[in-house]
Amino acid sequence: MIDRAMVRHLADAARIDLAVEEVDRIADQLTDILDELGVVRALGEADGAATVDTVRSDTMHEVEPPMQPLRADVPGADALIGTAARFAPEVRDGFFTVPLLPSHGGDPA
Amino acid sequence: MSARLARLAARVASGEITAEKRIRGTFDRLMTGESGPDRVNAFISFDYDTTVAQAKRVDADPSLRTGVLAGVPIAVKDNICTIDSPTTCAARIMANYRSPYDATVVRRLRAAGAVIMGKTNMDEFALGSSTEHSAFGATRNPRNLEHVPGGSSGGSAAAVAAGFAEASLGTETSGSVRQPASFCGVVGVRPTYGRVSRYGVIAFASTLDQVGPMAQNVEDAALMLQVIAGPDAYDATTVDMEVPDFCAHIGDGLSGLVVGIPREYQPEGMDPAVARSFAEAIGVMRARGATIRDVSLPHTDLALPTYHAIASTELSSNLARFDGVRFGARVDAATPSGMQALTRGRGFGAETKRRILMGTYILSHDPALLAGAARGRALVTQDFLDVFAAGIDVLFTPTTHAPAFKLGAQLEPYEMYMSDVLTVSAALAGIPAISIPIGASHGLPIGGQFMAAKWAEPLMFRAAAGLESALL
Amino acid sequence: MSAGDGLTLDWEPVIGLEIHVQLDTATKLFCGDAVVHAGAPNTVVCPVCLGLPGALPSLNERAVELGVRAAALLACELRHVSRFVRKSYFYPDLPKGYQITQLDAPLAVNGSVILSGTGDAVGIARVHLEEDAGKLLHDRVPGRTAIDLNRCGIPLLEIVTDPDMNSAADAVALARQLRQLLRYGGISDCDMELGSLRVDANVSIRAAGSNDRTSSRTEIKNLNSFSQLERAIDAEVVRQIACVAAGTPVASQTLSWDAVAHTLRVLRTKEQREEYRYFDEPDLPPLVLTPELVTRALMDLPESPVERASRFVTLGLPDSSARALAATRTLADYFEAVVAHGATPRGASAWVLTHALAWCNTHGCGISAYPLAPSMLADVIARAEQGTLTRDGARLVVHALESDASAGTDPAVTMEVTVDGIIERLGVAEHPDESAISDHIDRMLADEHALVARYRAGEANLFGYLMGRLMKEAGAGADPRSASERLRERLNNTEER
Ligand SMILES: [Mg+2]
Ligand SMILES: [Zn+2]
Repeated sequence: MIDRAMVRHLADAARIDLAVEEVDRIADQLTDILDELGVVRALGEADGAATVDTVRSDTMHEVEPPMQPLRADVPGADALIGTAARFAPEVRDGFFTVPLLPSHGGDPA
Repeated sequence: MSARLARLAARVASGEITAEKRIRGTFDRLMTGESGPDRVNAFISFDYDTTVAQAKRVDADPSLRTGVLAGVPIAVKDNICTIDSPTTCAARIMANYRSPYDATVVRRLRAAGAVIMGKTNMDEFALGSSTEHSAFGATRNPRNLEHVPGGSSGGSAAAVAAGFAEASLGTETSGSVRQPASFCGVVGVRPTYGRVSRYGVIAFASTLDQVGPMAQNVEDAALMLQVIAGPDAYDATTVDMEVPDFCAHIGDGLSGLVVGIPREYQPEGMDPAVARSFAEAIGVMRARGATIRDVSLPHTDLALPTYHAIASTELSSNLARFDGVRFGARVDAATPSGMQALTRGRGFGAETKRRILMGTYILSHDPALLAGAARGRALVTQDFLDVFAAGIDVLFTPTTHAPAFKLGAQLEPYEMYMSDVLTVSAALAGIPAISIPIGASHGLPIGGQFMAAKWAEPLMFRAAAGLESALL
Repeated sequence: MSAGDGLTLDWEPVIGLEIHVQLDTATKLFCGDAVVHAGAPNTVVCPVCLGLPGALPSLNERAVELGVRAAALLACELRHVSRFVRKSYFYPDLPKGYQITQLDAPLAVNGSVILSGTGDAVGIARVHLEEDAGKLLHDRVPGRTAIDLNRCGIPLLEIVTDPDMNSAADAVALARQLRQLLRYGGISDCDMELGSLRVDANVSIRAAGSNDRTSSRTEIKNLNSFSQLERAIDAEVVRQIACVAAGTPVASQTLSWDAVAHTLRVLRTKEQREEYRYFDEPDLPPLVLTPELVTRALMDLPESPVERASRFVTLGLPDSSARALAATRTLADYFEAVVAHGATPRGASAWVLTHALAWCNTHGCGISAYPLAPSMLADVIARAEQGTLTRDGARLVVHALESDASAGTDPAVTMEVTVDGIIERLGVAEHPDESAISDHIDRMLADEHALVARYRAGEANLFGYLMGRLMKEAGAGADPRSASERLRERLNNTEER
């Protein structure tokens, strides 16, 4: 059961601003979807000691472990076409810029 | 009608037609055709000048002019980065994004002489099965404009079905190439995970995403895969092994193949027309010398909820970078965190937000679900290993349980996810699969799907081409 | 300030360190951008380190090798298979919204370092690879925070110690020793000012002598020198004791040391692990250390400073000289090269520790910048030891070589010419026939052994008489200046006593 407080907490962690009606709708929908996934959760609980410490999303690599290829330490990155101004929302003097951090005098409002 | 792409390329190589002339023809068709772009809405962007400029480069460069895709107009899904057109993922937050680099698959297409003629519509961030959830409006099914083309690669399927592009690239997480291919009556391929580079493909779920070709026939799809496949130093999940000739055995026919029919793939509520076409296809294969065997994939029921847990988790992490700081749209605020929250709150669609929050919940509060998903994935994968080890060459199933549904059907989220139920297992197991047209009902195409063991695409293409020619 | 009041008798600090060092690679951890410390903002970036849509990481082999080297120097167990994870949080200097790091399956675990001062062992809990974040600047663009991502993706090695230290002094000693080891191994230049060595301290207190592990700890960040590390820990220990004395429990917090005000500031309450939403990095398969990679990584791994110093002692050097020479790898290498070119270990030690280091101190540089090639210094030392140069003469030659070389000639190329040329120019060569003077000195010293003993006992005014005896013995051909020098050397030679 996902309540509204939980949705607001998640939205905060995921940095998503939600309208009140979105909070309501998402709370209901997540509750439903997570219900549908109960059979999978039961598998995890049956496997024992499932804590956040053992989070492992990916078993494909375990069924048939490939080796991670390694890159030689030789300069040569993929080149960018054009400058940051091509894709960035705000660039000044070569810097990406954002509102001033509150810890450095920005408006915390 | 097989090997159409090869013939088109050969005509450019021989000088019979220039790439530029062909591209001009393509655009004429696109702008004036009966079911033109405005009605189908297959594309988010296409630009005449950019495309003609590409064609001129092909004509001017002998190595491109003789490439295996010389002057062939290819459409590319809009979550694949291209330097000469926007790449939007059909999301407001990316509406004006211009990538400063090309995806590896795009580089490989260009190096083969192909011309990227447009970027196709999709469900936002590839989250959906209908191509209705796009910031640029819904795409319509060219076979019947009242119906959806499927999704999330609906634009890529529609572009090929409508004849705007000779072939296209889509992307798959749980079936987003095969399902729209089935709905639009074209061929769609999911390669083995690790066969095709994901570099430059905007990630949804990294352990599941693969780029897949869509084409009018099996041989063209195999040729497209030939061009884009192979290890890539920019993607550590591509596997360093030689790419076989996907067309080498494509004409060997069905005789001698052992085809498994998984009994779990006949879900309740299967459309009778789908069931009929499927049965007919089995009959045709048997008549052509294939051995048909009933097989079981006992953990199939686990696949969809397992997929859902994994995909949401990976999505929530992969979309963290869309924060308005370095690229894309921004909604400004007094603080960086306020700016990020507003940008994401306004820039993401409803489904995207819902799934990010779900993934965030799983990662911070539901470890048992994630552990169960890992277990579920292993079980589903083992099912496939078992049947292929028991002598099955390919598995054959319907691609979807029904033909394309109507636009605006307003499915509940979990209902919509159900349309992946027959395609999702292959994605979890990382095995290759292909959807080909096997029939129609009231003018709407019906697709059948072959699945093969990892790296066994040649066998998969042989079976698919065999059935394709038998059904002609 | 030191925790000196009565309360400290009842409490003892428990200290662990988390150390980040920048690995000495040519390129970043997950992309081919060069590692540079200067440069215009956002000029050493690519799709990968900018975290652009669609970009994927590819792991730098050299970073793995350097991690393996560090693990070996810290006596860690290597993990045959390690994994990368995503550590998620939003901050403008973190492009992807997560840092790629290692968690449950780090590169290496269970090492230790013996503190050279006390002989106590400090456990090394883990060593892992991770990527650096970018830089935020708040005074470059009026009213905005400016972001430079050149540093993004630079490879870091994080070393986490066990909470085995009970004083700020021990913590500093460990940090110094780690720095020496890592420099030795060519793993990092460990420059705290440049940020290539960053030390965070975890501090808690417990009843003195107890094994209590329940008290909550704080983490102190932003420590830019060893003295700040020491001060900050001391200040935090005092603060925690005061908290407990006042009946307020110590809160689990992340603190920042203000180096100007000498105070601790609360950065944030410490995150719970689940807030970072860790999960396996799906873009990177498990990292498998092949035997070939490990062999390659350890191939030229030097002895540790401690091992090297004890080997120098076996060459006949006093303990203090051996440790001084082994202090940095480059100095020890230089010393050994001089010996390899024919100098005696004692001679090489004396010349390197006095002349060469003096020159380096004056010029504010390391031994690698010292203008005399080892072969050249060995040549001069050999001449002095054979008696074809006096000690003063050798000194003059070395000074001249230093200034010639600093003036731009290449001494390595014209070694013989230069040493011979300088000796010629300075006129400090001992004439070959004059080396016969030694025989005269031998004879005279034997004849006058009673007077010699008195001179050596302190009667310095006997020198004139002994010199007169020598000149009579040697005859008119002898050069009085060098004869008197040689005589004085022999008289003052302690080994002849
Ligand atoms: Mg760290
Ligand atoms: Zn980079």
